[in-house]
Amino acid sequence: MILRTGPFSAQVSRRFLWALPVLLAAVAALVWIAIGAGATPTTATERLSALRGEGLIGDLRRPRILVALLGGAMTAASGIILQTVSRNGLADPGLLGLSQGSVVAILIGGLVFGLGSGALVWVGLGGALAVSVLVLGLGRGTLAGGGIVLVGLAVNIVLGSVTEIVMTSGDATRFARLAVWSRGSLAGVSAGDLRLIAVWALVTVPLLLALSRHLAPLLLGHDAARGVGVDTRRLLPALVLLAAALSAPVVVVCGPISFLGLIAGYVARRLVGDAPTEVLVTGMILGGGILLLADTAGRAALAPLVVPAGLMTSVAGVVVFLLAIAADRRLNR
Amino acid sequence: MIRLVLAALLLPLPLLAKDITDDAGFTVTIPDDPQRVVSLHDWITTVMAAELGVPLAGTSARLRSDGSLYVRSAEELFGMTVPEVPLASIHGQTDPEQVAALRPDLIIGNLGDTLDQRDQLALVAPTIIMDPEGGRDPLDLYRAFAGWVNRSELFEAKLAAFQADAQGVAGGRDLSACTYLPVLANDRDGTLTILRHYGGVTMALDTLGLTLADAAGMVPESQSRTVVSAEMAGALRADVLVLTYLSSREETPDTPRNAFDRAAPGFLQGFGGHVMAVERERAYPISFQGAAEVMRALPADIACAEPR
Amino acid sequence: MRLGVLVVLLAVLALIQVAFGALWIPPARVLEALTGPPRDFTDTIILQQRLPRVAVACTVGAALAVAGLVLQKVMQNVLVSPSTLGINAGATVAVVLAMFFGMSGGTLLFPALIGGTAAMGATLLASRLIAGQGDRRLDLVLAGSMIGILCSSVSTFVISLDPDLFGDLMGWLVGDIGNFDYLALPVVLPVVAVALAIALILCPQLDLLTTGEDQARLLGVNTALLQGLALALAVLLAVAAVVVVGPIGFIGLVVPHLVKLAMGETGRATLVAVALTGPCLLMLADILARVALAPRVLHVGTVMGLSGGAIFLVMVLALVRRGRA
Repeated sequence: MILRTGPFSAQVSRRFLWALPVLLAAVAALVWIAIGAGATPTTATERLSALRGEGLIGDLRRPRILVALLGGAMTAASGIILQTVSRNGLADPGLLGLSQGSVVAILIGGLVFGLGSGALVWVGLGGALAVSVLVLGLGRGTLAGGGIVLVGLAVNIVLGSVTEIVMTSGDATRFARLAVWSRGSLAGVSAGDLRLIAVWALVTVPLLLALSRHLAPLLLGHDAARGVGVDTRRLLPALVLLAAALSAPVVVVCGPISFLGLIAGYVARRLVGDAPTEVLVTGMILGGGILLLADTAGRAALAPLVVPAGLMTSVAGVVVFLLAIAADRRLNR
Repeated sequence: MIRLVLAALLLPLPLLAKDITDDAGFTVTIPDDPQRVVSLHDWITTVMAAELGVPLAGTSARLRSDGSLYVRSAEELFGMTVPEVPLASIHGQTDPEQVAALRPDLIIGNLGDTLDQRDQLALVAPTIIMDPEGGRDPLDLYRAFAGWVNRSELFEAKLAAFQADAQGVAGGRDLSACTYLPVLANDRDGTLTILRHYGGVTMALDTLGLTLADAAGMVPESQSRTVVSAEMAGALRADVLVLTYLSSREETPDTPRNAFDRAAPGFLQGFGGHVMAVERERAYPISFQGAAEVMRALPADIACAEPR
Repeated sequence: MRLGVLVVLLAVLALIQVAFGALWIPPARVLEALTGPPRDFTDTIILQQRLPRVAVACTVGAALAVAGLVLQKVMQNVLVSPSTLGINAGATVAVVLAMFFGMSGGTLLFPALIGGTAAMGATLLASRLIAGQGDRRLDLVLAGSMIGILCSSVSTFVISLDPDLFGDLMGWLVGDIGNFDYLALPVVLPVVAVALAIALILCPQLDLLTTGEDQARLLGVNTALLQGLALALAVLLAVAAVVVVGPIGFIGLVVPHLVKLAMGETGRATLVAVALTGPCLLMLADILARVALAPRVLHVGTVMGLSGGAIFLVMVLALVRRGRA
């Protein structure tokens, strides 16, 4: 199907046209539930004004919801780019070690050099970039069959040990606090954090959408992509840089959110097929929705117990993901 | 927008307000006489608030393994229970909204657990961060706390009464030659935690006139405690070794002694000085009540000929 | 002959282990304490604090290494070990939960067994699900890491509920032989000894498995029973180690690999060599942990993570490259 709007035209699959409004509606419904969920009961009018950022409820819930949506979308996008670049559906900023690279850089920058959160994004970006270059460099040519993911895992283990050195150098209270952050949580999100994420999203997401049309040839393999005239030597580093820039700010604000990129990418491809731009858009909506769902369920379902979003995505996310694959297999048998 | 909200929140407060600088370095404008205080750390801030009769709008509490809630130390010392005082948060799980629902006019938390969420809490009410483990003397911390909640006079009166009580307990003995050292023996991993300051223990024994043992010098200047290998037990010299146990975990005075025996076998037997074991729930918090109990737990026959 | 070298190496490392600590004790003084009558607290340190540490290092090192060897034989996969299959993380979360509910000491072995077994089961199940067209061995490790991250997220959360209860657990959570759980030793030591003996008895049967399941069945081996028994043994060994010293990774991965380079992968001598090399590696890591950033003492688990992770990386690269060639 071909869409035409003035001078622009794009080929869009039927499945994408179905999935897009359904997903957007689901996310909108989720936002409506999330803005109403919490210790204080809210009426519909109060929810509307809270969504506009008015009142205490708006001040407390709105940044958290927006950070979940943006952060989830950015993490998912980062994962999908890495999946395309490495031609491996299991790639994810967490599994490939990018998040852990940011974590180490941020811990050292924050605890040893006492940097503020604005500067920490750049430090985290540096960490993520260094790791992505290392992992993609080492795993070059070993992309199929999960090889690169294992390289990422090994790098993750080494970086995790460095994190441990930093975390265990203080007292037990600090250890517990850093441990919660290092597993991902939106509990500390404030309006300042939202601004930080929003600025990075404003820069990275348009770039991402602009670059996304070059992703399709990459799916055929880097050689084939060069064959159809894609300058892979420039495109690949740009994409990796973008993947790092999408995940680093999220790590600074929420800590690493495990498996989100993996899950969002998998589900998006099952929904809309392989066209990169469609997978990206679908995956980002899914990523934002999943993180918002995880965070809202974590803070509301067991209240007054607050379960961190990172825990929700890694437990519920992994279980649902595995069940989805199982169901998928059964249907296709 | 935030400024508007803050202004709206500050309106119902009495016009009298004061600026203070908290332990995390924030300057906070707080009401002169707070009427609805939310305390976010049970055995640090809630205990002080309870002893000074501060009107608590809510407190944090811990989750027992059976799912029930309890306010560590405030329950043991003052019989405080949740929901008699409303629940503000489960320990380490602060939900600013739940705090907001209590309509506090002052929130007091601690550095380790509350700093991450200070921005959000500050939207709800003026928020003070306290640092109880920063190496400051417990009485100084308590005095500062009393100032924040408009209880300075009461604090000084209680302090005077406590000092008079201490004189009675001392009964004319000069204890300044006696040294003491609070130590936690970890029965799991064979390490010792050496403490420079330990809430009620420090208040009690300092006021009685005892001297902190030199071994406390192992603790870095800006901290209240440090963990060392049990091999360092040989370097511990003091007339009174103060051990503690968690009675809410069904521990007994023998628990820390046994832990010490496992970590540093034979050390207590050859120690020579006095070994006293006190309930951690009563001895760790900064309170006159707990400190008075620690004073009375000090062996009556203590005698120190010369500084050791 | 080679075993003799290992025994000597073990003895030397043990002596260094005893000399090292919060305070340096000259080896001459150590020998004095070992032979003469006790005189002062230094003797207590040597005899009652450091010797038990060496004993623990030997037991735990052997348990983890043999667990890794058995797993690798049964699964025919050089990348599996108690840590890469998620067994360690599963046992850890079970122990943390049990401690939250007031358990302590030797009884922790039972929740740990349940946790370790459940985590391994979940890993096996998950690896089936995510299996792609690629190498099945890699799927297993990937699934193991997913389960591992999941388990440690839960541990972290439970601890955050009341850090004052778990404060002295920091070293154990990372894995350390300097700070081990004294309380669990009386239960764990006999369990490990018996399990190691069984592993030694079963060794020839396990070797048959490495020739291929069909081959083994032809030779009259009840493969299903043997595999089940061997897996149970491996989990028991790994979990017993975790209860005492926490989740120290990569001993089970690296040691069988090292021994294989020197003396092949079958035979009882290999098993004994693995049981001797495990403690050597663990003590070497402990010595490194003490000198690397001195005067700060790192945890053994951290040093093993750093070095083991690097070795794992090399193994993965070698495996993937070979698969491609």
